[in-house]
Amino acid sequence: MKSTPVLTALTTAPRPPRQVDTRWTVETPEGVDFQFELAGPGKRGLARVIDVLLIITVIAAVALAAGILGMAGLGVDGLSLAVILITLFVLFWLYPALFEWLTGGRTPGKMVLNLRVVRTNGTPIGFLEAFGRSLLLAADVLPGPGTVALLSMTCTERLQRLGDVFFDTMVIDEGTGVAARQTIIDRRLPPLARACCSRSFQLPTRTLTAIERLFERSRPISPMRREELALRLANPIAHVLGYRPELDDHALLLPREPVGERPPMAFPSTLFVLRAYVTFSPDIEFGNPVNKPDVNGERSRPGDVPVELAEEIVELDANELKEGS
Amino acid sequence: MNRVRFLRQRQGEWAAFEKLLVQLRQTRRSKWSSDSLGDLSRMYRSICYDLSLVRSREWGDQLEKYLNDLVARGHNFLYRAPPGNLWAVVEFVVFGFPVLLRKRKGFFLASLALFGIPFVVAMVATLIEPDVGRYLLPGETRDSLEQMYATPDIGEEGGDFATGRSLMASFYVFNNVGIAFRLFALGAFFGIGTIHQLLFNGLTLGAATGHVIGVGHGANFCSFVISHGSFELTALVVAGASGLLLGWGLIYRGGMSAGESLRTHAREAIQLIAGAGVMLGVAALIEGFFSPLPIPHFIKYAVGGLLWIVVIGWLLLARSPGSETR
Repeated sequence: MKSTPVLTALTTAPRPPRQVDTRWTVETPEGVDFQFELAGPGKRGLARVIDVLLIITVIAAVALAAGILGMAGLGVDGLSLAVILITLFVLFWLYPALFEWLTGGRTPGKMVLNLRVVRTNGTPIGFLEAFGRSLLLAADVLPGPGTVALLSMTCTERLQRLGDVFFDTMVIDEGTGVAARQTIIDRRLPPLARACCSRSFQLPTRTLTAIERLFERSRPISPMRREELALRLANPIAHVLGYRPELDDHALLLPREPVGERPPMAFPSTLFVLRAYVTFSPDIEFGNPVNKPDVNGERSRPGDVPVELAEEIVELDANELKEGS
Repeated sequence: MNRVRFLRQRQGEWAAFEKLLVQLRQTRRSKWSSDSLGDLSRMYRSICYDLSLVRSREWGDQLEKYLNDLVARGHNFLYRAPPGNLWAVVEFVVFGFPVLLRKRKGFFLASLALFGIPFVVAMVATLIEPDVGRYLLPGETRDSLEQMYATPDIGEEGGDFATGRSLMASFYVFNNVGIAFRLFALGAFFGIGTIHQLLFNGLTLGAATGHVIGVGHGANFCSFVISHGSFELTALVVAGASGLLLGWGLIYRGGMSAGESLRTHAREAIQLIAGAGVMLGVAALIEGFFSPLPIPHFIKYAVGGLLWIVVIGWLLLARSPGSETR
């Protein structure tokens, strides 16, 4: 049987390993892979709503201007009606095309939400892609707002609406950049003193990386589980360093005032691992520390961890300790 | 090199890269200096190297992601299609478009049949039996058609000549180009939407033509339509062809992968509809400014006939100047 592309895609196409997150990997001509964060239907829908509101505003403004001219006795003659009609045509059919073509893939709505249309190989789109996506919007909004687009996005790996599928584009989210991926490690923690380490006073980079991964902001690990994992790191680290807690002034101390009356004792391994990281990892900032709230509502809180940890510790009951393991 | 030394050594360049990228994005393309572009591409390449180094040595996710973002931004900036120029656009419309249409003449003929056959059938049926026209067209449409073509000065909306005409021309752009774009877009559903629209438009326009001729305004109507019809009707059929081509990419693969077939066909289809859009713009100007002129019918027939010859000749014969040497 002669198979068609659709049938093949539905049945026999050899699929790459199923992607489970919203990142898409692209290879550069330099042979390096890098990843894009794909934008989901929520943000894209919101961007579209902003665009539509803008279109309505412009139409209203043009119509109002024509109306004022008419009241001023100049009359809404054929010429101003012609202007209105051409405005309507351009806004209906060419608004996304013109913006995405001229600004490298961004309509005003996309600018607000930090989205951008790119080709699936990561390069900026050209006029033909922008124009094609724009026209296919007419198919994507059938039979109601965004219905076909939503269906199409759920069926494609790169969250593409019909216009994206046909013209090989995708919408990426540039707002969740470095900020959301930074680790939640506070450098103000007291470092380990040389005096309380009887053996070597350094840690391999891979160990530090492992600690870093444990505290990545995007990684939702409960404090209990984190403590369990930290324990696995803490023992070998203490062994390598020859750590002697009895010589450490700061053993099991938090950097801030303990909240309430109870001593913050619950997560010793977490604290130790963090202090080891602060001691041996180079204190070098890179990238722009972004402190503004992220667009997706996630709070940015670089450097707030000890407070957060302390609160979690204080909130922890003896019951939870029993159940939690 | 250890991680600390690496960070110390490289972070200055990363910051410089970011700064330059922001700076270049904020200035116009014409004002970019070759020095800064050279710097950018050199830094980009070394950051690519940094990224792979950080990956292979597992020097931390955080660092890796930061460099990943830098590479992504640099890649997006550096690898772009060359900016189009006006001459390329003109060259495409005048030469590339007819060549592409001839390459895809099967789709043009299919679209012509889907539009033309119901058109002729509805027209002849309405001429023979006016009830068919009454069935296919709503009453107001018939009334306004009869009114419109009752006198030779068609499309006269009062007011002075220029404003009335530009209003009509812009209405034709709004309406006809909208129909054409819809013919294209609905092709995304395996071409079914396009086929439906072509049949429907063919029936309606055929019935309208039959009705107007039937009530005796044939001379006014034909002399009005013949000039811009050359561009307008042809462009509508081309738009239908583009929709069919778009849908065909979903069904047929021709030795390509499914996605590749889809994209190749879509790329050709969008070029066809772009050409059709330009043709409809020309048609709107003719329809707005020339077709309703109060001049003897034979002049309109002569000009209209000439325009048909021009359109057909152009679509059949035009080829890009460079290709003649081959």
